[in-house]
Amino acid sequence: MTTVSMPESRTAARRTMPAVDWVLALALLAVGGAVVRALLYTPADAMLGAVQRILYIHVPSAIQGMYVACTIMAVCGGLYLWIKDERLDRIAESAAEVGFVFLTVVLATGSIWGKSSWGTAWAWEPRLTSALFLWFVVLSYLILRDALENREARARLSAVLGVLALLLVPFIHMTVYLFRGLHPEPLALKPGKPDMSPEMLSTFLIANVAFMFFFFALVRVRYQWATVRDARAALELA
Amino acid sequence: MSIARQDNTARQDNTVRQDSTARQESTAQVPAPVAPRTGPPDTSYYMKLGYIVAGVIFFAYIALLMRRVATVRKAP
Repeated sequence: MTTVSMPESRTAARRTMPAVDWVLALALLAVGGAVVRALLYTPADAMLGAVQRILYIHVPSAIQGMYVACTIMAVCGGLYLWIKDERLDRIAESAAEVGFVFLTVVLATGSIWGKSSWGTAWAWEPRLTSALFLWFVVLSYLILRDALENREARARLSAVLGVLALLLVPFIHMTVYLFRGLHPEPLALKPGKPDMSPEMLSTFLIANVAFMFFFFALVRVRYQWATVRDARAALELA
Repeated sequence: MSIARQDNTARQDNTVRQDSTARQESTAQVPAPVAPRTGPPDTSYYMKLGYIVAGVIFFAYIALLMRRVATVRKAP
């Protein structure tokens, strides 16, 4: 076992975690550019008006928070159960926390859009209710991780919950087809061509790429922090 | 008999013409009760609110991450 002194560990932490993360800064610039394009250079919807521009943050956040984050949670969790590599647990944990933030944005922006378009901020209809349920599942994943002291048990149990969370995602996706509700059918994630004008479609695609970059930049910083945190905890135990 | 009918008809014609003229004048002066639809509804308030709320959530999380990073960097 190699021994690392505290000053050395601090230097290592500073090397691993710079004060300004340039990848995150670039991702923020990309998201800012996508927002400027959405607000200033994309036409408003003829029926809904300006509120339709919420689409350019609502749907990319949903794709990252629901599809990407839950897939990473489940795949890394499942692999952890198999090969017991702590890095996989840290990636799953980071994706869950960042995905939770994106899911919160999805619920908040969806409610605002619903208030304008449907006249109500919330309705207990299948898509909204199942999305809220997923939000609670991811929240319980994070609470579970905080509650357990034993690292091995924490990683194992949260991996199981991560796999279960992914099982919800196809059901949430299909709710708009299976049940009659207020939420419209997907514009882009469906067979066939997206139902958008070329200007709206290009802004939508740019926003999706920017949000994906932003998501992975946040997961990267969160993962680096978790790595340093775990290394310090191991040092303290030693 | 025929003279009386002619008079009556003429009077009616005159009355109708006067009424329709009066109705036209009043229509021109009173504004229409429903404004004509000129485009989509003004929902820019909700759009701005949506972007502000999303921005606040994301920046709050980034601030939390930066605080964690700063704590790790400062720790002995």
